[in-house]
Amino acid sequence: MNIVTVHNLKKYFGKGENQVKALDGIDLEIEKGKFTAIIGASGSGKTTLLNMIGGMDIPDEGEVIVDGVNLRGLKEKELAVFRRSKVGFVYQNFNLVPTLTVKENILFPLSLAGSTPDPAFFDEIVELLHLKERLNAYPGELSGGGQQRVAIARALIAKPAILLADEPTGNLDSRTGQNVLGLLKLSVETYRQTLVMITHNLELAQMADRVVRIEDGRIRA
Amino acid sequence: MKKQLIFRPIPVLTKRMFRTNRGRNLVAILAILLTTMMFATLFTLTQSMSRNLVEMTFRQTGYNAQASMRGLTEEQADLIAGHPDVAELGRSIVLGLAENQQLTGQSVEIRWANDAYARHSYAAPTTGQMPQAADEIALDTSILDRLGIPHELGQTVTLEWRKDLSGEEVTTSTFTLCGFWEGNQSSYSSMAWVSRAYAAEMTGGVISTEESQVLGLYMVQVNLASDQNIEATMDRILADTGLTGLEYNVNLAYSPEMGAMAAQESMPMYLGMVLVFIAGYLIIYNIFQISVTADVQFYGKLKTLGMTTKQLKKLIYGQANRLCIIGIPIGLILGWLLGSVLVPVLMGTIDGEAVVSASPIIFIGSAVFAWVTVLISCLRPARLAGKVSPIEALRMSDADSSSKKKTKRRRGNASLASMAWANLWRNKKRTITVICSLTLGLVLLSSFYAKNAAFDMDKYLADLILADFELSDATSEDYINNYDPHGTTLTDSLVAQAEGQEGVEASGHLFSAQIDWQMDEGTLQNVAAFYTEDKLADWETYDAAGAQQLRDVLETGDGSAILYGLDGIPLDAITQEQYVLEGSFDSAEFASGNYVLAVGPSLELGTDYPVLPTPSAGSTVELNGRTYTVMAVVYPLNPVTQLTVQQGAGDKFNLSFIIPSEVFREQWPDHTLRKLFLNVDDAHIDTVQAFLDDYMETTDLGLPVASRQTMAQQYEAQTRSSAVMGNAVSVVIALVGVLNFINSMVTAIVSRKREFAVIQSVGMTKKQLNRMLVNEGLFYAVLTLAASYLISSLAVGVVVRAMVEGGFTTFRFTLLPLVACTPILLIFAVLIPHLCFRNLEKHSIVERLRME
Repeated sequence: MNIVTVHNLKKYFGKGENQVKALDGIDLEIEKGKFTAIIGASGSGKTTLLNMIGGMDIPDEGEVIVDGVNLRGLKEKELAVFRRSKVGFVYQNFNLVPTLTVKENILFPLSLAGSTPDPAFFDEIVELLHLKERLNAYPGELSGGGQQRVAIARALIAKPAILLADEPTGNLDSRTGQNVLGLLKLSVETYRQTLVMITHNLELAQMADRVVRIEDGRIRA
Repeated sequence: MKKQLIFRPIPVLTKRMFRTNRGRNLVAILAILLTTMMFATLFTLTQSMSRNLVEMTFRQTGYNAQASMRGLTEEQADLIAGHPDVAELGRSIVLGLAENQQLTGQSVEIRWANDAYARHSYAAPTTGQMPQAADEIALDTSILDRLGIPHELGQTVTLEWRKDLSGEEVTTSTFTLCGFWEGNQSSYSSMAWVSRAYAAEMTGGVISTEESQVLGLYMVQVNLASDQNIEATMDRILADTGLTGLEYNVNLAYSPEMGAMAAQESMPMYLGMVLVFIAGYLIIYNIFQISVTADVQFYGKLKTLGMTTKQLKKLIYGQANRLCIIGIPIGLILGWLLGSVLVPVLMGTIDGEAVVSASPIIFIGSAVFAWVTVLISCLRPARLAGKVSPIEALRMSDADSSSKKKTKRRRGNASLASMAWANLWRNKKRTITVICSLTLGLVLLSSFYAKNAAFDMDKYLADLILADFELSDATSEDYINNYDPHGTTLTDSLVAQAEGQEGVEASGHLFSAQIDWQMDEGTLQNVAAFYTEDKLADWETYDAAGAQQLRDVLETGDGSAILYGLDGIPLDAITQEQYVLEGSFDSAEFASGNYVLAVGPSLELGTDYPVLPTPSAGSTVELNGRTYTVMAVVYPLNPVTQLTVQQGAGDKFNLSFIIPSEVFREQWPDHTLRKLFLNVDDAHIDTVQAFLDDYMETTDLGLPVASRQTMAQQYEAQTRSSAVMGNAVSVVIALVGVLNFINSMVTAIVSRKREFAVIQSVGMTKKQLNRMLVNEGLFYAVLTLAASYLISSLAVGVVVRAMVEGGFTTFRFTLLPLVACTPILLIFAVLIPHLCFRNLEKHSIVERLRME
């Protein structure tokens, strides 16, 4: 069963001779419960694709269907609701809110929706990601790997339909990167999550069930 | 612990973000504080103004009940008192006017009154009580002073009065003082309360219902339960009690004209509020705009995490509200205090203590105004934060987001100045906001200053006083009992002593007499030609009696003439060229006694009128059996000819004439001096004043003295307040502008820390960077000053000039405050970037480069 269906997706930036075709007709289907890695050089359009799937950017053409929701025509607020309920993001630079504690950061997207997580699930995730002792710390007090584990916990807590990770280990040294990715993979498997990860590290990409290569806004098999 | 999994992200974030933005908060709180303070001050002034205006009118009318009635019977009063709409009925029986020698020029009404009447007439004894026994009396302290009686209960008071005002028989009664209070200076007459028993004895128990008979006239003050619809309520009360025939007067303070006047007096305040709102908007908007722009990536991040636009806006308004919670209460208190200081100054001329209103409207009103200002200021920043697309947020920088950049190719090198100039326009809106904010304050300051500077004290005083000192007969300006030509205030010995004072440079005398006068045909024609039917109809709308007098005289020619005998200062003043409306003045000829000057109407000087309502120059008039030729028609100078009519002159239309005082004294040898004018050299003003003070203390407490110095001081005190007001508002607005400028400069520099590090890393020296920043500051200052000079010139040259047209002003073009502010602004412009730069220097280039 496909959790994501992307059809003829196009996104251009700029005009005339300066025009950049970030995405130039992408067709992609992602199966539920699978780990997909997207690889490509910088500027190949992989981040743009991820943003489109995550409902952060609006395509010029084509459509994106995530977990049965067609993102085309969703309003600003509906997109925000979509993001916090269906998508979990993990960024290269963690994107934690520095003024919130680890616990608050994890709970943040859920609480924005006004809902409360299942406490047992919360404990489980915190345990799994080795965050139990640091719940009241602020992100600044954590190491890079620690911060990324918080980001992963935050992405998982809402039980999203899909987890999107943009170079999640890009800011970490290789050993920590391996560790974090291992934990990410473990979590995804534990909760039967779908993971789409951008990377240009081929070694890491090999951990995925499927590798998609993007060049100049198109998919190369 | 599990229970605590719920957390409310918006309030928590609001709180935490608030803590991290200390610098911004400080500036924002200051801005909100200043805005609230100005609102509160203006509200306090407006509220106190209308309260004091009403209070002042109460004091002038002499009572503060809603309505009064006279000439009714006691039974009728009982009926009214019993009506449910009547809260309290003040009752009084008039006996007469005290006519003791020492009380000349002061009207003292001898009356019985109940407590309510006394209380509502500002004449309730504060020491002692109202009279009970037949020989008791209660008086105010000013009358006691006049009579030379110490402020002590039990003192003996003797009053002389006439039961019949047209008769000669004087009643002399002796009382024991049983109560006194501080006199009400604004009222035309004072009260002498006697007991009911004494009133009954004097009137023989007869109540007068005829208004013309003073003895025994029964008067009531009706205090209603509500201030609303006074006339309707009074009509209903009279209808309900079957007394429809009776007339009542509504207290002037409750008339619609008073409301209109209060509204008019408050107009500048409303204008001030609009200005404060604009100034407040400009800075608070800028602070939030800068803050949101700086945090835009953060907001974008929140959005990617699923925060909705609404939640983001809530976050921003939450911050604004927190700032308000701190800034508004402090602003309210400071504003009210500032208002309390300004109110008495502003009410300087009003007698009695100025009441500072502490009405909740002030606090609620200013709080709401300030809060609304903050919310409106946040509208655009909040929308900006809400509109941030999560992707764009990651790219956004200090520059305008939507600007379509045209690639400009600059030839040659990038000079420091041109870089600074370009930096200034990276955020056009911010730069323009700051410039507007500063300019607004400076333009206001210049305008207020120019307006106040335009006031011409000499012009103003010329209308009020001719000489350094003017001494008058006590009855000279007694508008109730009118002038007594045999008054004894200006005794020969006083005049001789005064004129003999050292330093007296010139003096002048004014005598007057009023006679019945059959107007000649020529004069009547002139009067009829001048007062056209249109003018008469207009006159009737505000002074029906005066217009009727004129109609009567036009029919019968039976009028009245006031003759002024002048010499010295007043004669010189009124015959100055600009005051001669027709004919020409020749002092030698005039002294011959064959000529008279006719006094014309109060026209606009410098305008030609085809006909004046006086005998024409060159014609002859017969006055008091002597024939004069009219030499000229002169302008009615207030200090010379705007005095009261003479006692017993009747209510006829009158014209005034001026003859030499020598001629006057031949005609009316028994008339005493009405006014003495003295000019004193500057060195001796104080000694002459001391002489007069001493004379008043030892000989005649009631001597009316007007001094140019005192008047000028009084006027200065009075205008200083409004100048202070206007300047206070503009200084605060200018301050807000400076705050805005500092905030923008500082944030612009701090937010570009990393950028500066980059520039430095590629080889710009500290000195060059510093110079670039100082250049930016100077550009700001120069642009602001250019705008301020331009707009102020227009505002002063056009608006202020038009505003001060007419009145006691001489317009002078001045931009002095702006000139004074110029160096200050330039110093700021250099100092702030310099200080910020030194702060930056604390971190190394590498440290700064690594900063996110």
